[in-house]
Amino acid sequence: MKRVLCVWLPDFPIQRLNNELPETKSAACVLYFETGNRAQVVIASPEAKRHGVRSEMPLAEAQTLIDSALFLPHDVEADSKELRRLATLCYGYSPFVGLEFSDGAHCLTLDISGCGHLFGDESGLARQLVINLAEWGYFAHVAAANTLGAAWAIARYGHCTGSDRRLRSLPVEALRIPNQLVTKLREFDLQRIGQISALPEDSLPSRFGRLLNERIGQLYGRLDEIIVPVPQPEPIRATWTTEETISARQAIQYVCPNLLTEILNTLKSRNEGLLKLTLLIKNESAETTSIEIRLARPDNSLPHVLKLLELKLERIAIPKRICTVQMEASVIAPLQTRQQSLFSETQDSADTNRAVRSLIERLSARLGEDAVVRPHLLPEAIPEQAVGFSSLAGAASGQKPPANEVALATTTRPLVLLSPPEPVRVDSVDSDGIPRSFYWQRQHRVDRNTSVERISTGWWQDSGATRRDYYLLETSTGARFWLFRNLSKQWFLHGLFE
Amino acid sequence: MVVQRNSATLPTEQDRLAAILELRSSLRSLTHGLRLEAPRRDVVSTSISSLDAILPERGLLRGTLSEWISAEAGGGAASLAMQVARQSQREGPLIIVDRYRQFYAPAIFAAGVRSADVVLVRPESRAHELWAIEQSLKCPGIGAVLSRIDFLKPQEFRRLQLAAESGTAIGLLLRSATAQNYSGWADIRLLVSPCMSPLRAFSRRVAVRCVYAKGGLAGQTIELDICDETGAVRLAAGFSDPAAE
Repeated sequence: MKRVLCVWLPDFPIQRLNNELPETKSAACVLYFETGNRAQVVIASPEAKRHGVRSEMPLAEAQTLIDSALFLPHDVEADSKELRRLATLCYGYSPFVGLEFSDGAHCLTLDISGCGHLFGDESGLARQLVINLAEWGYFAHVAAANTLGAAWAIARYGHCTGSDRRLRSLPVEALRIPNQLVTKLREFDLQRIGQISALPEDSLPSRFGRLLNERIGQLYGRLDEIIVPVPQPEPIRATWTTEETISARQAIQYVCPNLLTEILNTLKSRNEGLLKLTLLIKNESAETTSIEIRLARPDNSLPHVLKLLELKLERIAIPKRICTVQMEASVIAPLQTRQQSLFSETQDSADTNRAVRSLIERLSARLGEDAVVRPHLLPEAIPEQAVGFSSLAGAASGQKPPANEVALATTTRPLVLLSPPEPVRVDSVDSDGIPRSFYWQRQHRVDRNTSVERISTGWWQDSGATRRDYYLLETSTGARFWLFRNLSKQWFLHGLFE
Repeated sequence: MVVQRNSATLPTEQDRLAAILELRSSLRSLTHGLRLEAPRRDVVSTSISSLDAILPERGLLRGTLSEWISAEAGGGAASLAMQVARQSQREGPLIIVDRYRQFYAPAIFAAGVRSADVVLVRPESRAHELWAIEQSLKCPGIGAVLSRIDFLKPQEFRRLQLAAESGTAIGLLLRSATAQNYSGWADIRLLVSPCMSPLRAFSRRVAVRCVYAKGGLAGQTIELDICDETGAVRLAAGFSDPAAE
């Protein structure tokens, strides 16, 4: 099923201005548009709105209402450029990112079909995107629905899910129709989408034009609507080729700083930093060895990136007879964005936070991205399947644990889990089938035990049917073990309460 | 002849106690003077007041290592160390270096450790493990570094100690009983042994012996009860001071 995420950036020109000129954040701002000898307000900041300034108001009138405000000409070109830049940054969330300007609202539209699970679920994706936008300095409303029309309507006008009933209760403005058409509909006392949907479709075009039917069709998915993707910028590349092939590791280490300097100089001139760097080493036989470096924050520091590259190069076998080394800035981001927090509020110093990020990047570069992870709990019955791991390499920001994390944590689980479980020899059992003594490394006499905890799964699971009877056993010395008996009546030690 | 004892001139119990505390403080200053750097370091409480009481600084110093030796498998040493790790998260993330991939997240989080501030590092070799611990200890802004590491050569141990001193983290080294046979560079060495609890349900009992404490008195032992339901740790009833309650 197609899923579309709409990101509405309210008062986008004002938000952009505040990011560009931080000193305007505390001031009332009014952006105006001048044609001939007439100037009118395009948009006003919340502070100016409180003084009665409204869009489309003559500039002179706005100046009489609040003379202390900052009056600036509206730069449409800069808005468009910035929105396109945000769209390219959103390619980390979706392969198709488009723009939507209906109703004067600045929106990004993302085709997120099949992308949600990469962030846990759709909510996780939306949450992460909102966090990232906040870090880039923007406040946004987001909504996901089956159609672009519904996602736009909910993001712009709704505070609800995209059910048909909810969509019907939205105002007619949520149909992405021009203001004149809205006024006309209101003259007929048609205030809600539901009222229009109830009318015969054939009767609408003659009174309100074809656009209304088209928008309703797009809202409910009866008409297809495609997202026109914003073109992605050309990647920044640097290449080194040689006629005489080389095989020495030192040669690569000699070439890399030059290529990296070339890439970073380009990025510095654009005030951008690296998030992902790809190094491609090609040999005479056209075999390619690829190395990727991911960074948690945009960085253009040559020593730091070079160090990460060297740590990564240590782990791979350099191919023989190399003829081309190519470096590419695969993912880049602006440097001036506010530093996001990889960890929660405990870090108050930017230097400290940077040091921790740098550590994570170094560990990931040398040990591998799968070796530096954050564990999270999964609602699975089988203990070894109840934990997932998310790599921290290149994590744009701390992905917060799901809300049920605490609920899934339990004191009845051991701190040390053996993988795979180790078979133990049970020497004697009591009348309830609970071990009285068992052998694991040495003989243990059981003094106390908990009641059985049965964990079973159905035959349709990937691992097949599983049934285990778990017991927490305390030995005569006070040590605690977690044993289970499987369907074949074999005993295994699965964990230690260390 | 009757000799009148003048109680004002004799040292009282309080004077003796004050003198002992002063001597201990001087001893600590002397031993800490042997460090490469001797700045004033923050103390992180173990969150267990009775355990703090047997430690020379009433907690663990940042930038130092402590050994948590488990007298036997399943003895509860890691559970206690996790309590300290939880406390240290106030200052920065907890790094768990887990070469054997055995730490189980549901139990870690049940101990109160915040999942958002945990980094699990899973190196594949011993060399990488030592490198990861050293790098983590050196990094400013880390709350604690916890790792299970049984055998350490003296020079490796010293390297880790120097790394800890140059950083801000508490190094928590979980070790097996064999580690008792070797000397170490940790400031604190605690031996955790399981005990039979007279309470028949809902808790387990462990004995903690301070085997070595730099600048303090070693050899003190306490018994702690760990609640099965909440994970709360408290001094075992038999050892508690009724006057203090």
